[in-house]
Amino acid sequence: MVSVPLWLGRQGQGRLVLLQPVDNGVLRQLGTQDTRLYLVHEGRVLASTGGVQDDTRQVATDLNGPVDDGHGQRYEQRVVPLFEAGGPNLVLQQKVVRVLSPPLVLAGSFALLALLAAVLWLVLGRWASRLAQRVAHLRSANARFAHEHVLSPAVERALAQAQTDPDEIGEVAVASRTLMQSVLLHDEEHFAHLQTLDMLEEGVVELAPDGRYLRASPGWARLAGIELQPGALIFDHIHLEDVENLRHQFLQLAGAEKSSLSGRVRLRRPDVKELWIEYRFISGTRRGGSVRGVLRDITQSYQLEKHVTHMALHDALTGLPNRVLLEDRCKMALRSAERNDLTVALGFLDLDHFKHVNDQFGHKTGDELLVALATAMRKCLRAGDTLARWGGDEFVVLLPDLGSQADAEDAIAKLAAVCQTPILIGDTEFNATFSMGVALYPADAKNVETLLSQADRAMFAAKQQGRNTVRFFAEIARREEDRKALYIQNRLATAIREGRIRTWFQPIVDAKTRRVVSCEALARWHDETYGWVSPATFVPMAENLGLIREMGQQVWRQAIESLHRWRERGLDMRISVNVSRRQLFTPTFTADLLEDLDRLAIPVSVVDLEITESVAMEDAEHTEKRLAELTEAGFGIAIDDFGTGYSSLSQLHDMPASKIKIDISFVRRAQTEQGSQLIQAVVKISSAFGLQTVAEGVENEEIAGVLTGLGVTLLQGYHFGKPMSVEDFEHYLADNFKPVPARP
Amino acid sequence: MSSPDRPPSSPGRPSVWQGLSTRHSLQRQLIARFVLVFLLVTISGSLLVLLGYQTLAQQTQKRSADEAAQYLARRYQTQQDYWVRNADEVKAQIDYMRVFAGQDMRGNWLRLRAYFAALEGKLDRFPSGAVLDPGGKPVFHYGPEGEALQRRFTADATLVSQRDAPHPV
Repeated sequence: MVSVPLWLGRQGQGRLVLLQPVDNGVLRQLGTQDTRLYLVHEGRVLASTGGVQDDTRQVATDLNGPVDDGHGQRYEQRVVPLFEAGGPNLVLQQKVVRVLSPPLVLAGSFALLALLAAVLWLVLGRWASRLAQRVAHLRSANARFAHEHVLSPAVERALAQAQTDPDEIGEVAVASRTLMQSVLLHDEEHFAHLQTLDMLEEGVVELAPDGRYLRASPGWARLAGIELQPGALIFDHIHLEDVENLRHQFLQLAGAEKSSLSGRVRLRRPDVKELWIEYRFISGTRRGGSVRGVLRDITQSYQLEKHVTHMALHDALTGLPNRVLLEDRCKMALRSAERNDLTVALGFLDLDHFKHVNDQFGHKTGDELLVALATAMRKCLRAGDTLARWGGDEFVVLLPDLGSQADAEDAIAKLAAVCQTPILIGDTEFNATFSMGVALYPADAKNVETLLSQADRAMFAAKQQGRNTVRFFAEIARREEDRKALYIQNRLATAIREGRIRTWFQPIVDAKTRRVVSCEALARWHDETYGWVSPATFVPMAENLGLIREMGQQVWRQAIESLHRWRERGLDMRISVNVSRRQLFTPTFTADLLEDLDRLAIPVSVVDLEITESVAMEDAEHTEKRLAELTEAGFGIAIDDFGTGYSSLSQLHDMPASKIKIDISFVRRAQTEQGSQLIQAVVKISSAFGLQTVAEGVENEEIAGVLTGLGVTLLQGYHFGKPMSVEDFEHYLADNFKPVPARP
Repeated sequence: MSSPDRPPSSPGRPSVWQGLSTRHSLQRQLIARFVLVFLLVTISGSLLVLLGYQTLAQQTQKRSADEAAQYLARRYQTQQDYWVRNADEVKAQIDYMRVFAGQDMRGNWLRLRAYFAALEGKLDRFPSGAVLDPGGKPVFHYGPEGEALQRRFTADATLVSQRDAPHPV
């Protein structure tokens, strides 16, 4: 509706109102090709682009969105608000046009992706498939090798196919080939090792932790004398007494308490009485646990070892325990006595005058007597007692677990009775006696060393008191003179240790010229309590205490040091030094002397070594060898105390001595006819053997004259000079030593 | 060395390789996985493409409908402007023909009716109309809807008179 002003003539200014209807034609003008327009008022279509055919159509005026026309055609509807409220609505419906149908889209996208997949397969899939084939070849090669253990052509071919490209698979193929070659090499070595094991005499076994055989070398089958059966146990072949121990050790190995086992067991073989084997087992690396071991036959070495052990602990002659075993048993006895509050008796037993048996009847008889005595004494002892051979004719008896000293006295009385029973060796009947010292634990000593020492001292006291007696250490400790002896023994040991033994010198003069030509070095000891102790007392003690060697060394060193000093002052003289048996048989004795002399530049030829006749003639064979060695080194050898022993002319002839010292007991009788004749005989014999003679104990000029007249070469005694300290002797030399005039 | 129950190199010894008899080759696995991935990707991809396409089509359609509605509104406004210009032209022709120059109003109305009669059937010339006097009271009408227009403006004029205020149509 359009309104415009209109002049109405005399009616004035009116208005022209024109009505323009919005009909189908107007809507068609407004609409486009793909749209439909409806003018709808109150649900009734007033006009439409479709004309009258749409008059009955129902068009919703409250919906903006997709609508269906009822014939499958979809439209997008919009309500356009062109008119005033309450007026009609203009509804626009635009046809929904689908360029592509869903199946077509689906098929198209499917085809596109399929194409992409095909391209991917061509690019990646075939490559991956080829890789998979090469991996399959690699697998095939390894599987075949693992099965056949041979680097066969098929394996090589498969490896070559896996190795076609130089990538990681190719490298794995190369590594596999190397590994296979290494495995084959290792197999060969392993086979060789097994072959070697098969050749061994030793048994090599691998066992389950319960002792079941897993593997065993033929050596073990031979050793055990068995044929291995499945499920057999090693314990079936071990001696019944050793099975439990071995089984226990296996449990320890299985329980990781031990990492290895070693030991000895006996085998159970019906054809062999005793077969000892040495085993060594270690934990194996097999899954589930195993034990690997080597076993070897040690029967011979075991028996030898047993024999050696027996020899090391027993005396070869009597079969009695030696010092080592005795000391061990002593310790055990002392420990037991301490625990049980008991007494132990230890007796040091020395056969009286056994040397005479050896000298008169020979060593063989002496040995037989020792064996017979040892057997007899052993029989009268209790099972727990020990009779040991200490050395020579010395025995030690150990009586443990005693209630009192009386028990020890009873046992020792039985021993004495046994010894006093005559023993028949060959055709000769022997009545042996012994001197014995007994010390008790804990009364006399608290340890083994002291107990032995006290028993030894008691025996020394028994010998000093006339032999064939038994002395208890407690008894001698109560007696004054014995106490003194004990005191001196104790002090002597200290004095020797502290080097307080002094060397004194006594001059030796030429019988014709009466010039001092030599001197004898003598041991002297001054004790703070008893003053000068006689050598006759302390020298035997030192020998008995085993200190003679050390004491002899002290005297020797002081002597040669003095000689060295005198020689530097131009006092050119000889020196004589006493040598004990123990010193003489020290292996390095000669070498030690030579070393000392060499250190002081003293010629060997000025030294005489004095050996008592008893030492020289006892065990003459060995003594001769040692004396020959000394003579060869240049030392002079003097036989001391000649005439008191039992040497034969034959022995004297064989002895490499250069001087004979006539014992003082002969010299004192020199003025009697018998004595004179005896000395003359000695001088003649010595002269016959080319030996010089020295007379000891010359106390006055008359005797000196007689001896000179009898042809004695050298004289020694108080008449010429008493033994004196080094200072006094040097004064003496200053007054009396006259050098030998030089020959024109 | 010999073993009583387990010989070291027995040919019957179980092998690691024999223990893997139910294995699948890498190639078979590759093909199976490729086919599986192909089917999965292709089907799901196709469905996704379809869904996307439909969403896009719907959005396009909605946008197109919105644009068509806007276009319609603009077009209708243009049509209205055209109708106003036509109305001005009709008024100008009436004025030009001095239809209301005569003193005889009856004759004036006849001439006016003749004029509108002459326009009848012509495109974009209004088929119905009315003339309101300065008081807004319809004094003339023509066309099929003219009578309806007269009734409406008569009712409006009554309302106006009741309020003592003339209101132009």
